[in-house]
Amino acid sequence: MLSPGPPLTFFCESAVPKHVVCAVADIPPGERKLVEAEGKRIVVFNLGGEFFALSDRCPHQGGSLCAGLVSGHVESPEPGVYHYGRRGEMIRCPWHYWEFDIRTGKSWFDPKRVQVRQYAAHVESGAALAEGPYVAETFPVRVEDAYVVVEA
Amino acid sequence: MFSGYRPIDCDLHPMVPGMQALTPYMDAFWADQVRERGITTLDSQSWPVNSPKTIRADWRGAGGRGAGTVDQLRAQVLDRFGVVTGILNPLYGVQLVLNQDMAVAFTRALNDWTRAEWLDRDDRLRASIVLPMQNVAAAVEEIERLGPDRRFVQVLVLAMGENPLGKRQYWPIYEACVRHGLALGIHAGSAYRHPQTSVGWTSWYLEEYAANQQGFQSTLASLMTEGALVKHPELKVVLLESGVTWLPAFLWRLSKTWKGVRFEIPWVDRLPAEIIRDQVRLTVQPLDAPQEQVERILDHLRSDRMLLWASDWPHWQFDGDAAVPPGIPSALMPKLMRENALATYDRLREGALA
Repeated sequence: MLSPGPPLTFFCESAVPKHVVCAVADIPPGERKLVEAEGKRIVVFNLGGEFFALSDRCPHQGGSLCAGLVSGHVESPEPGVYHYGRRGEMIRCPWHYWEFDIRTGKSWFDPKRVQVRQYAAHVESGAALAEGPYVAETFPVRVEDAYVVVEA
Repeated sequence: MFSGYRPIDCDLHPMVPGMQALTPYMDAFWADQVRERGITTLDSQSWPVNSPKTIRADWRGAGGRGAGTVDQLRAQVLDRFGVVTGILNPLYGVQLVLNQDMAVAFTRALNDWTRAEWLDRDDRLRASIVLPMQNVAAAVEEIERLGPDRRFVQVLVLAMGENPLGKRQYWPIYEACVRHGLALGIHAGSAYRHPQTSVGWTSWYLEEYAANQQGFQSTLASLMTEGALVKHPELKVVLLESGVTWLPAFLWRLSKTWKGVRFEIPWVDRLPAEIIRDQVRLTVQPLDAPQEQVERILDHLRSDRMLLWASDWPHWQFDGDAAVPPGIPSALMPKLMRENALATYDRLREGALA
């Protein structure tokens, strides 16, 4: 059932605007979705029920990360030995294959200087969203569903 | 004339006059085989004796050959340039021999010839152990045999051998180098197991000489990607007669591409260029840059530790006494002429005054 006058964005004083970008059900675990908030292209990932939001723009030359390959992370204590883990938690830009940690946005090869802009993301229940105060826009929120909220 | 720097010459090439010179250093079987089969020389087409490049005209002796005696070396380089220490890198075609037993016999003879005919005759001389890369176990054995003689400071292989040098079958050699404190010297030249270029055989000497650069690049990439360098962080690799100017651009390409596909080689956990700057050194002469561009090239290298001076005797890299390439900034001279070599060669530091 649809609530009347559903919100998309709400503001709190001295806080980053929060955007309801999609329903939790829109991004199954392991999947990602490209959304837009404040004119920014943001890719939202679902890692086993945890949601992470990164700028869709690769810091290298601007490739769309949403179109990239999701893989795991491999390290090695010595040549020929592969320690592979964190499957599904690294995104590789489709243009030059630079890899970024979905949880932090940091590149592996130069985590301090090369990183993707990260946005806080969390899940809110439709009921909580319905309580407001919100800037009313046109997004259908069902009180019984859960939604991904991104601060951008 | 450079004696104020107390120079170390890192690339000297004594030339074997012919196989007859090596037979005294072979056992009876192989000495007789050389005579019975009529094996007269192993001069390689990598360094054709009559090519102007191979022996500087005024360094040629009777019969057009050169670099045949310690006296020539003293007069033409050691005394003339005030060289304190010189490293001999014999280039003779032992790497081309296909029969492993013969290759090992000839290579051992070459090393023993170097020791008796050169090292024993001038205290300033040091040498590389030429390795019979046809057989890894034999190469390790040769290191073990000669390693106790501290005048051997390096092992010597060719840039273009049977397989890329980073391949793991070669690692026992690198372990032996580390164990004995020997650098890995890689000299321009081919064992002719493959065309000298990746697109096929060359027609001309000019083509082949220039193609060594590609051989060095591929060799360096192999040592880096296979993990030979990170596995042996103490190993110093010295590129001999490699030229220099190709390196910065190659490092940039290697490092840039690594950022995208580093998952292939996760043991390389920092920029390839940094690893190579830490472990790889290059000799000049030759320095393949015009005088006015040298400082730019050095800037691109981003390291003042990488270059080692060499006369490359008797190869014709310079005329007269211009043994240091023009354009080298004077501030680099102490490192180029001596300090970098001391930092590179563990065994040169033994007993050396700073």
